[in-house]
Amino acid sequence: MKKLLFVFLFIGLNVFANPMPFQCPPGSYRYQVNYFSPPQCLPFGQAPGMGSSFCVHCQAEMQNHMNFNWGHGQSFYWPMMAWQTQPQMPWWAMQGNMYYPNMHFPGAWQGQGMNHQQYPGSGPVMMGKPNIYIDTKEEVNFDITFSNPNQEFIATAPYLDDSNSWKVKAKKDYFFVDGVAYGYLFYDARASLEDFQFEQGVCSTRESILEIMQQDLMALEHSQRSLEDFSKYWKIKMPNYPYYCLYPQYNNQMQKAAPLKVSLEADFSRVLYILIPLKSLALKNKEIYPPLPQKDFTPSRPSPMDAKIKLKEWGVAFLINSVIKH
Amino acid sequence: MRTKIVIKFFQKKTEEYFMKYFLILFISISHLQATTIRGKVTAPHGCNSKNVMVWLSTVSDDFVQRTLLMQTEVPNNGSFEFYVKPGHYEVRGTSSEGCGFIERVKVLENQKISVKVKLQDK
Repeated sequence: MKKLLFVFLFIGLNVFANPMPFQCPPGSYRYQVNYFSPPQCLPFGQAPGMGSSFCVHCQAEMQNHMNFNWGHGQSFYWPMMAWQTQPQMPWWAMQGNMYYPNMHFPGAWQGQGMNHQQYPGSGPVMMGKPNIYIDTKEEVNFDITFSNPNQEFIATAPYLDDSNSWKVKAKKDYFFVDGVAYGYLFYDARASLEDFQFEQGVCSTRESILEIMQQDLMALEHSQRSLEDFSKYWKIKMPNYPYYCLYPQYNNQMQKAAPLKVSLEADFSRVLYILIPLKSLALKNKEIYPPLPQKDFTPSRPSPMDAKIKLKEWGVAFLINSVIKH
Repeated sequence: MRTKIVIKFFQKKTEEYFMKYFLILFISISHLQATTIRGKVTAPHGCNSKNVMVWLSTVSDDFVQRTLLMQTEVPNNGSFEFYVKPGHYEVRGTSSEGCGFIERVKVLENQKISVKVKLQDK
C-alpha cells in the first residue's frame, strides 16, 4: 500500500511539476498559446493559425487588428482610446487619453520600438518602469545604490542623491524617503544589448504574454500589490500589437545592465521582460534581430528565498526601433 | 642658438599637448552632469493626497503633435526627476479627483531645473 502511494505521488508530482528544459530545434521558434498550454515549436516563417489547428483564437486576433493603423509617424499614434476595450481603466489612463495621443505606448514610439532620439543616452534597450518593492518583518534603514556611475537614467522617483543612492527607511511594505511613504522605488534607464539574453523566451499573443508575465511574477512570489500594479500599468502601456516575443531577464542580466548595491542583507529578486511587438509571426526576413526565442526561460528563474528582508523588482523593456530587424 | 630653438620648439609642443588634453578633460567633466527636471509634488486636501501622476511631454497646443515621453506616480510631498535632452517640455500633474497642474519649462544643456508640482483644485 505504501509502495502504491509512493508511486502515485511520484507520478503526480512529475505530471504537475515544471516541464523539463525545452529547446526548439534550429529553424524553429518557441510559441505558446497561453500559460497553461504546452509550448510548441513552430518552423521559422510559419505563424500560428497557418495550418495549425491549436490556435483558432490567433486567427481571431489577426482579424481584430486587420485595420489597425500602426502609427509609424511620430505625430500620429494609434490605438487611441476608442480601440481599448478594458471596461475599467485606471483613473490616470482616462485622463492621459485626453492629453496624449500616444498614451497607450510606453513612450515616444516609432515603428516597432522606442523613438530613442527623444531621450538622452545611447543604450538601445529602454527599461520602462522598473519598480522595486519591499517586504520586511522589521523596520530597517539602508541604502540602495546604482553602482554604475555611467548609468543612463531616464527617470527616477524619488530622485537619487549625489551618490546615485536612495537612502530609505523601510517598514513592512513601504519605503520612507525624507519622511514620505513610497509604495515602490521607480526608475527608467537605458542599457546595452550585450547585457541581455535573447535565446530564452516565448512568443504568443499580446494577451497571453501579459498572462505569462503575470504568472512568472507569481512564481517569483511578488506581493498582491506588485502584481496589481504590473497588470494595471502594462495592460494600458503595452502597444496593441497582436503578437509579442518575450525575453525574461533575471538577476544575472540585471546586475550587469543596472547593477544595484543594497547596504544590508536581503533577498533581492530582479526581473525585466524585454518585449518585441510583432504584427505577424510569419517572418520572411532571414536575418532577424533579436532572434526568435528557442529555449525555455523558466529554468533560469531564481527561486524565492525565505529572508527577513525581501526586495522584488519588475520592469518591462522595449528596444529602440533601429536595432529591430523583423 | 640652435639649443634655444630646440628648447622653444619642445616648450611649444608641450603647451599644445597640455591644452589639447586639458580641453578633452574639461569637456568630459562638463558632460558628466545630466540635464534634468527635478520636482516635488504637493496636493492640497481634497485632491487625493495619496498619489499624483506626473507626466512629461513635448510642448504643443495641438493634441496630435504632443508626445508623452514619461510618466510616474508620486506620493504627496514626494519627489521625482526626469532626465531629458535640452529643449522645451510640458510638466503636468493630475490626481484622481481631477485636480491639475501644468507648467512649460525650457531646459538648457547640463542644467538641472526645479519644478514645484502644486496641484490646484478643479
